[in-house]
Amino acid sequence: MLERVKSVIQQEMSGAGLPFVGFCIALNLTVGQVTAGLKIPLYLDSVGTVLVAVLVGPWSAIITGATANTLAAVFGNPVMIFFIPVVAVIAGFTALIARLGWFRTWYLVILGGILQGVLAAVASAPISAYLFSGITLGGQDFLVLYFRSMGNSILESVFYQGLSSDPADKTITYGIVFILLKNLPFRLLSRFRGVTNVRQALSEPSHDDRHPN
Amino acid sequence: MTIDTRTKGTLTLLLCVSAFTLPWTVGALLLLSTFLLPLLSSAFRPISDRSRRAFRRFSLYAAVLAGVLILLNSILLREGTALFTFLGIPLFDGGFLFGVKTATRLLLLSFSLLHFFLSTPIRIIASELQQTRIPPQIILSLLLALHFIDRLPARIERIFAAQEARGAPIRSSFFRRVKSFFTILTPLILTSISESIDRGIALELRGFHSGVRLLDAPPSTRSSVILSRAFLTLSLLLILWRIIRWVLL
Repeated sequence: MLERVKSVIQQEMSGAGLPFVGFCIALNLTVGQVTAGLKIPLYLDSVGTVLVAVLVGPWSAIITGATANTLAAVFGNPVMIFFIPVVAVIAGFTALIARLGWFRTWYLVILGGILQGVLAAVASAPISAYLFSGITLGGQDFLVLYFRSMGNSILESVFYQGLSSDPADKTITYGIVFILLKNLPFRLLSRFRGVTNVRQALSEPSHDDRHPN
Repeated sequence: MTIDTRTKGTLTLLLCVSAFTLPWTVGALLLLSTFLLPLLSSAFRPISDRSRRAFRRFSLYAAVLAGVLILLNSILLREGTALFTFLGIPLFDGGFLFGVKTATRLLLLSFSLLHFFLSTPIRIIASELQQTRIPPQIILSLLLALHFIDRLPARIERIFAAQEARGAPIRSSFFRRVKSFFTILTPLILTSISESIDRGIALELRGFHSGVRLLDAPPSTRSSVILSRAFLTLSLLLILWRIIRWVLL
């Protein structure tokens, strides 16, 4: 089993896949600089993971998210390391729906984002509740406290907090990745294994590919 | 005695497990002891001025947030009796105790991880990971990520300046700023894909995918092997004890 996983990782990370994973780990950690520069109130800390899940594969996406969370712990947010299972869920689900072709149609992308948000809330609630009693040294802690003061249990409060923010965040992340991939030229995307997750092979070139000059 | 990365890693694991398994009073004592670690051993001191500044910044942030959360828990969780009033608002002992317990656990966890990461260069962590037979692709992706983390901020700055010079509405209304998000992100991703393709070709030409060792790790001493095994065994025993207690009670 382990050898099989290693061989799949080796296949996924061949060619441009490996350096792209490195870039997407860095993107997860630095995209905040772009949103802060434009004064847009969004985190979007899983854009890189979603990009890798669609273009490279599920195992590479799990590695991207897990490494990004570990590095986030190194850079001063130690709690992130405990949310690696949530990243694995995000990566696995995204790779699955990408393989089903959901990233070719905008309304399926929105549906996928909402489902992903609910799934992320379900996956993160037990970690946040049982390991941290709902407090993870972030801004969302105040929302958890608000739900607790309404008489809910810790698990319920964390889950409601997740439900109130995750579906919107993940839908926006999916939307951004969808628009980005639609705008990228086919000749670049074709270097990745997951190009057929985004476009029908050779039948649906982008505007740039039809008019290269 | 010199403490190597493996020993530091297993001690960090033991502290993290203790945060979840031992009573909060023991956790509070361990939290205080984590602040003594850099004084007792040079292996736990921050590796650079940047790390030192990050540690100071996080300590201040964690202290303020822990204080605010204890206060809010005391106000909002109306359990037990009122301890005292703060600006005319009653503070309850149930909420106060819950806040103190949670803050202690979280701070012990945070500071033990932070001490490990801020005192260990990523290159050493990567070489230790390589010794545990993790595929070299994962280790190289970690090293490449560090390279990109170093370069991306400057690249983003350049794209910002270029797009602003072309008239992109970077300082305009909210919706126009959202639109210009793509004018920043698209060139960033485009250049990075091109760079990834070039680097991928370079790696293949050098025979990377046929299996290579990226980094050489220093050999472990006998004392460090014994210490790290002891910390690991203690961590496992604590987890086991916690599970047994959970099943029996």
